[in-house]
Amino acid sequence: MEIVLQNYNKNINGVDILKNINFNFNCNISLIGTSNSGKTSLLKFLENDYNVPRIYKNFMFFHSTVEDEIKYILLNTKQKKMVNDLLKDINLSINPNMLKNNDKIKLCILKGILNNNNYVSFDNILTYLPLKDKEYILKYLKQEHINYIIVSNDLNDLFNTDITYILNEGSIIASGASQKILLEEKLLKRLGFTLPFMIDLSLKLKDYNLIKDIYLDKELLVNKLWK
Amino acid sequence: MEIKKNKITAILGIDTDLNIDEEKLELDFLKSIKMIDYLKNKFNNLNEEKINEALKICLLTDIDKQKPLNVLSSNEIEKLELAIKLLENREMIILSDFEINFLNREFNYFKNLFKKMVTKYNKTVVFITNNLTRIMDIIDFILVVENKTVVLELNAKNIYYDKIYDYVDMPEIINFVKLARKNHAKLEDYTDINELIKGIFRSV
Repeated sequence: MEIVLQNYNKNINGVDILKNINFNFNCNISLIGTSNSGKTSLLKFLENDYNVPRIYKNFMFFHSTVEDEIKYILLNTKQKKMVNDLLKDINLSINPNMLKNNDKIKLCILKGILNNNNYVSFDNILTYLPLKDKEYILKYLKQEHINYIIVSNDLNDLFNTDITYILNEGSIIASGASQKILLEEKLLKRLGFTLPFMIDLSLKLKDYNLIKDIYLDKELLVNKLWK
Repeated sequence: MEIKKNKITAILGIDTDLNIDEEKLELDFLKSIKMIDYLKNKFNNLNEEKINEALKICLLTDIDKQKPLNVLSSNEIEKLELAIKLLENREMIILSDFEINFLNREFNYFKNLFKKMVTKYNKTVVFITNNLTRIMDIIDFILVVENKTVVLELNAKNIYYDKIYDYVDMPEIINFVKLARKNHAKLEDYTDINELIKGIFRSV
């Protein structure tokens, strides 16, 4: 099953929010772009018309316990393990509003991904998490064959996706394999992004003729430079 | 906990929830009132020129000003929250996960603004974050907090101190330099990639 948008347009109060969008959601996707480029609008459309849960920083909770908020009793063993791993040391019978901010973020994410949907989107929320928690969640989604979209200002997130779409003023201005998009240095910098450290370092070392390739692995690059 | 005045401090740690005075405007941002009307109402003792000036400093445009609060993007909310702090003329500007909603170009603008606020206007700036990478070039001090207790307090010059990274992710540049040193590379405590390149060029 996949979600395909062809020449999709969205206009609100006479303003074109999304223009001629061609989008294929059948793998893990990064959606990047400047502020007001249409990223959240696209995720909201997918949420409303295709039931793709949009997970964003939203601390409005509807139940009096964490347990009820994520319907813990209905979760399978693997899902319960994830809750216990991510919310370790948390008593699930406490009120969600009593959680620390970091745990509230995790609760938002757990609510979104534990509803047995085949798709999910993260609207600039994964960046709040420490790397190990983010990797844990994405590994779980891959194992469960749940496809995800990540909206983020951190280009390191592209390493966790297959395809990247770049939005600008409501239009897709580039798309392709995430690893290839990461090498679009001029375009990414023009939009205001910072390249991931290892790509930036490799490109600069290439300019100095110190290496010939792009290295994503620090140890390999260190061994290449200091044999 | 002591936060040094007229300096930029990073408060790091997973459990950074602190009882420091940080106004939560989340409920206000559900209102359909226009940004400019909300501000005129909130700051009825200030003239509109002053409000417009604060919005301009925070990169909010004339078009943004006319937007209802409930349609603002997270980026625009951060800018508006900062504008409110400026209009309140607070001595201490507290920024919680501020950097997350900005691309580098805009964030660099704000970093310069914060430096100016500290040096020219005697403000104190505090970042509450787990992302040291994006602020390590402007902070003066680091406080690491666990369970509402300061467990580490150090000058930002000591950013290579290993113990910090028991609590937050290590910036990649620091990780790389530490790895290179294990291979006997002679590299200094770089935090800027261009300086690191020069160091590598001298070292290999």
